[in-house]
Amino acid sequence: MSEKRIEDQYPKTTVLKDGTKVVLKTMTHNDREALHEFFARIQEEDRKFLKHDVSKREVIDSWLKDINYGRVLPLLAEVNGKIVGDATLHRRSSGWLKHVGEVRLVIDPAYRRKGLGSHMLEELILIAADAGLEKLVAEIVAEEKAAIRAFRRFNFEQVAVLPGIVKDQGGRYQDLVVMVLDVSTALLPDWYYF
Amino acid sequence: MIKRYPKRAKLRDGTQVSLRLMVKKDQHALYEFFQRVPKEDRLFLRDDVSKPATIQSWVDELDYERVLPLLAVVDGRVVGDATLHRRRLGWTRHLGKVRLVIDSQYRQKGLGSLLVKELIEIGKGLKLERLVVELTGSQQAALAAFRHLGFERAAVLYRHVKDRAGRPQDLVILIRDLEEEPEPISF
Repeated sequence: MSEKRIEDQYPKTTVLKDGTKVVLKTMTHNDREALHEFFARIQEEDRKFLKHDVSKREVIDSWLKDINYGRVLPLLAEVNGKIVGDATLHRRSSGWLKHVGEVRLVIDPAYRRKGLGSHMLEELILIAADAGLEKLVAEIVAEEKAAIRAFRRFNFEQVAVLPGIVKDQGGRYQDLVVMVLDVSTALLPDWYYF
Repeated sequence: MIKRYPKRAKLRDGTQVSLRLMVKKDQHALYEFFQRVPKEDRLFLRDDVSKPATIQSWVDELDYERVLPLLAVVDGRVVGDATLHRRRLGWTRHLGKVRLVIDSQYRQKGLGSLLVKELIEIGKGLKLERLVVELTGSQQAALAAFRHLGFERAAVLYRHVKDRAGRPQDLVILIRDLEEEPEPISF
């Protein structure tokens, strides 16, 4: 399988529904401060439903410590040098989940409902398809109804609910919804096929 | 926690095993252990243990805070490997994940149960709240054994994983509460 080098595909520029120009790029060590600022702008009620406590510096530092695009591909959306979106694709190089990728997505509240999340998710699906991944998984706290709806629009299907399994950043137990996309049936843009 | 080991135990058939944490020196013994695991069983393991590089990476990254590997040893030979995986950060930091491989000649002797019971005690000592095990739907004997140790099926992901032969298999997620003892199965 010939995998296009991800580094060669970015940065690229895209225009949101409201005309905002956004640069999509892969995360590098230079993004440390901008990432801290980005996550500081995410309100607590959103932040508490993220897998990691992104208000902690050590969490972001640990991401930057071992950047390996083959394992975790972090895609950032930037507007005027400010990060407004972070979408990551997680993969395993061996084992029974080798054909499965995991996606995580965080969008600046001021940049929601503009199609940025959809755009970033679409990028990750295309990267996954090019890399030969067969499935994508998204794990979302059940209360995050809007996110679940958004993933469903891309043909992600709810395959399981793990009751009370995760502890949110506020210390409350939450149901975790596991959504899976069969990459071959993803709603990819028409141009991808031609 | 680590002070519990090494310790000795007796299997149902009288075999004396010693239980201890894995150290870097075990690399070769571990590799040999996995070579003895029948190929059809290896299909269901999460990592490709037939590759020396897989074992090498475990040894290189040995960190008991992240992965606690408990070995069962008989006459210097590894006959069982049970690992407890933890995350320091994130919304699953209160959970421990269990993985278990037993030498085929040492099955049906209570060794698997013995190792999992150890991990349950370790988990409690570490103040973990629940243990999670992932198996494929075809591992019926293992599913039954974990159920007997208080694990309950929480979800099945249909044809989610692929065995080494490339065949899709259901992924069964089992969970055991550590804060409240499950009711013993009375039948």
